[in-house]
Amino acid sequence: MSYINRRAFVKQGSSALALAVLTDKGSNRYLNAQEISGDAHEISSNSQSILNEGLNAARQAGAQYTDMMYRVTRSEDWNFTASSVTSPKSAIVVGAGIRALYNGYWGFAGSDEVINAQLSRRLGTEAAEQARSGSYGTRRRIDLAPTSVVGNGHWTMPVEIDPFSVSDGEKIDFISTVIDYINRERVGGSVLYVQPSFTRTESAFASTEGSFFTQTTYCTECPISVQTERHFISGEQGGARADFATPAGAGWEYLLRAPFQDKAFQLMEHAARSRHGKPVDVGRYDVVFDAYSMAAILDATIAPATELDRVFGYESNNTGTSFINKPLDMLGSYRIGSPLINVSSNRTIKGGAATVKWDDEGVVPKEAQLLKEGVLADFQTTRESANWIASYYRHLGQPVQSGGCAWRQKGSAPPTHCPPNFILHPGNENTTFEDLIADTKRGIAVVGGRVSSDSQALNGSGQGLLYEIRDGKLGEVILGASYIYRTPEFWKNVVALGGSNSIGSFGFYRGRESGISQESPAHTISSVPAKVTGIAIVDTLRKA
Amino acid sequence: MRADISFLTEGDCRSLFSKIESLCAGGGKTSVLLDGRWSRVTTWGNSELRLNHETNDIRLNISREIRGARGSAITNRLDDKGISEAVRVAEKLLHGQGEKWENIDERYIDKPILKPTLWSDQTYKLGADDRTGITTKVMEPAIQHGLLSTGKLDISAECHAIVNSDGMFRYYPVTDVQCSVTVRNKNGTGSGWAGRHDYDLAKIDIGELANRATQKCIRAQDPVTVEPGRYTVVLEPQAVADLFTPVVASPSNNGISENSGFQRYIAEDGKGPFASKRPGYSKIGELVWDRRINLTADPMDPDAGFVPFRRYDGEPYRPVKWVDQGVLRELSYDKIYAIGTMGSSDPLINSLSYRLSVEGITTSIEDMIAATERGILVTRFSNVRKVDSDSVLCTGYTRDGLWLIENGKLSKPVKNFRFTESPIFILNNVDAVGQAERVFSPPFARIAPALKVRDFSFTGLVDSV
Repeated sequence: MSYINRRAFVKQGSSALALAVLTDKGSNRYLNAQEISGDAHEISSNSQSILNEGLNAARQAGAQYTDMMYRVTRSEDWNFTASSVTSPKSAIVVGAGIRALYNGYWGFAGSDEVINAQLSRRLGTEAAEQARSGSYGTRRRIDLAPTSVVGNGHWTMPVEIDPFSVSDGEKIDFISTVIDYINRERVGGSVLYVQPSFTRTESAFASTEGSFFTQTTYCTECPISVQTERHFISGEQGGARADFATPAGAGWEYLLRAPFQDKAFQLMEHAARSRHGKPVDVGRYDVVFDAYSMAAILDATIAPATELDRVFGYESNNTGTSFINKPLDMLGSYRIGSPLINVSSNRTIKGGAATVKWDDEGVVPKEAQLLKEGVLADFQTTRESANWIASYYRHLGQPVQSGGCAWRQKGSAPPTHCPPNFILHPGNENTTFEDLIADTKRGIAVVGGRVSSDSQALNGSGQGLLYEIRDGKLGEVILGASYIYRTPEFWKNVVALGGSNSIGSFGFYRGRESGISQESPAHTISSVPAKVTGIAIVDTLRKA
Repeated sequence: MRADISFLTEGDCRSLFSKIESLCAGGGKTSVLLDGRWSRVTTWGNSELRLNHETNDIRLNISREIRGARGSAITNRLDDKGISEAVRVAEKLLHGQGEKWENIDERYIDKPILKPTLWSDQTYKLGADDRTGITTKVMEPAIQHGLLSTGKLDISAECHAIVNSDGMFRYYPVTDVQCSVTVRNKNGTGSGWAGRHDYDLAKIDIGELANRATQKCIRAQDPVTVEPGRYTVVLEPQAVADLFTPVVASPSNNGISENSGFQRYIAEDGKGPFASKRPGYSKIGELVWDRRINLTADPMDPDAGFVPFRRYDGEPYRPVKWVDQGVLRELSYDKIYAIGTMGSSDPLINSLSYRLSVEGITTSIEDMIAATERGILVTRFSNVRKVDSDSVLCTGYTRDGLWLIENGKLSKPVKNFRFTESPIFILNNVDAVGQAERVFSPPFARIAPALKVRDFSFTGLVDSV
């Protein structure tokens, strides 16, 4: 079997088929698989000399450090419902940008164009001019944390099947099969939205420190959401969103292997059950959160609170500040969570949506221990911000180096911060979500909870599918409830964590720009379920 | 194409379209959307300039249609190879679709668009040195008081063009100035904010903006705790707009789109805040909020003008009075609804920009405070999230300056609250209305008045600053 046949999919399961497709080297593949969206790869072999023209132009105009990125991003976003597929949104974005440092001030110039020597020189001169223009104020100095020179690097994210080499026909056939399968489980008149999306990003980077590399990364996802019709008693319209096939650093094989069949029933049941339940009994409870809910809370609390530029106030006019407001005093001593809580960040895990070999300023990202047994131990940094806590690193005998969180939204945008991949490390015993529930006499279970925090990542509230727990068993669904948290109290009240047999990985988008059409970067959070005591459960719609 | 693309002119758009049309094969219709933004931005943080940057952003969307089958491709390459690849992708995608007779529009009749003034030559000519000078001016009051100023100054120019093979040609250049600043004290116990957005820098009083943010920070330092509950509130125009916007617009996967509750057929279906109790009807003709308040939108608005056509299809925005002295007059509808119910094929579309204006006597914020025995003054709301579609009940937080009003005076700064309140509710509980003012809500042009409102619901205490 060398292509996905609907009957076989239903009988054998998608993973068996995926294996068949992957091992058959394509003799019977859909026709015209190669004749897809244009050139396979965009960055040509003479890009290094073109980038160097830009660096030289900036240097001649007086810049003391310069780096340049040329990036081509290809993306394809599909929109399927049970009855239709519209043609995908197919986009290609090219752009180049140069960043220059002059007397401690940054300048940047960028343009959405295919790179050539003339453009490169113009951007180089312009970037230096921008920096110079800002530098007439107070004299200052910016030290970038050292990073090793990348001599002539090339890295491609290891994916098994480039999604852009898969024909439209095959994609449509596979996704339609998945939809037909999921729809068999549907309850009444429900509407299913399946929106697979693929991105391939190719970049070329050069800096006046002598680094040059090309890098190709992928991001693939297939968000699935269900909206059920209004329940005949409660009048509530329920819904659910899949917590699988979330954004990942992977190719087409990620969808072939996604657990559509295993989770279809659960997704539909979740949607149907979210419409009918008992009203909330306001109070404080022991709450068992599933792995997805814990990942979402991490992404809204510890993750933004440990972005070092945000901590130092540079984002106060944008996404906000952090409750970790005395970073140098708090490192190594400020307790944010119980001793069970270990949170680390990385950009290396296989399949991580934020995984790269080098970040967008040429740094090999390090693995950072953000919370060690509940105590603040590190921050997410870039070359410039790592130096702000240099004394801490030196005190620990660690090198002062960037965490590798620099990111450019596109080639013509200046570098900013992106969240790396995070890991909420599992507990020592083999505990699952079901075990945590069985161990709770009276409490609440939260499945698929989504949260949002305030501007200091300190207070927040969340909603999801809430169940009552009575005597270790799941009881009725509770409607109209939210859980409220205050970040340090939440994490300090974690009394039990799932074990390594309960790990889930989920992709999230979170960027700095709010508003229209700003591409946010994706990152992967690997987490486990947890039991947290003393959580306030309130009625969402109740006013004061 | 000019080799140096700094800003696309009308002529550039026309010749680009001819080139694209000449590359198309198979007949049918071609439609091209071009959005360009020449961004010139200065950011500063902690009272020091951070980055000066200038970028050209381009986005070209080529759409092909043959007997209803459609395909489109997005690129930002304007060179020959890039354009021909995009045309080829659009045509490949279109050939993957079947013919859809329901997609075929009737014979195209060009509808005129209004021509608001959204371009300022003076603003267009400003460069990095000018921005640095303005930034220095914005930081000054904060520096004088030993405070930390962080913000962004964006002086850009954009062009929006739609050209199609039926003869539609729309090209609209605009200049766009955004300046927002947050001032905090070194202890992190006080934060003040101010922001302005307009097409012409001359319409923005930079000194006033800087002073306002700085003074708010100074007066908001070391706030005290006050119990949450129901309060009389004096809401500054920014706060009113922050809370009102979910009635009209909501965040979606692709950015911001219209709140479906604002659509006529959704309201007639019994959903959203404007559904009538009578099945099959909306509240059009009924009183929905205080008689002193109007909701209108007009591309020619002298203070809040906007690009006069919808970006993705060129449909013109007409001036519309959504709510007239508290009575709902119009809700938005698309072409299909128009043909079925209104007897014409002109939709009434929502630009997401609005003017919430007032009739009758207005009161200044100072006078509203003076007339309040006990209340709270709110600068703005943040993280506003709708939790119920039918009542537009929202939750979120206050931010950047909150004060207790006692016996007609601002007595002390208080810690931030979480609120659970509905904009429809507050517009029905208005004690006093103020002058309408342009608020900071890019890329939309919005105007809102200050309001004094009874029984505003603060449901929790947050100790964030």
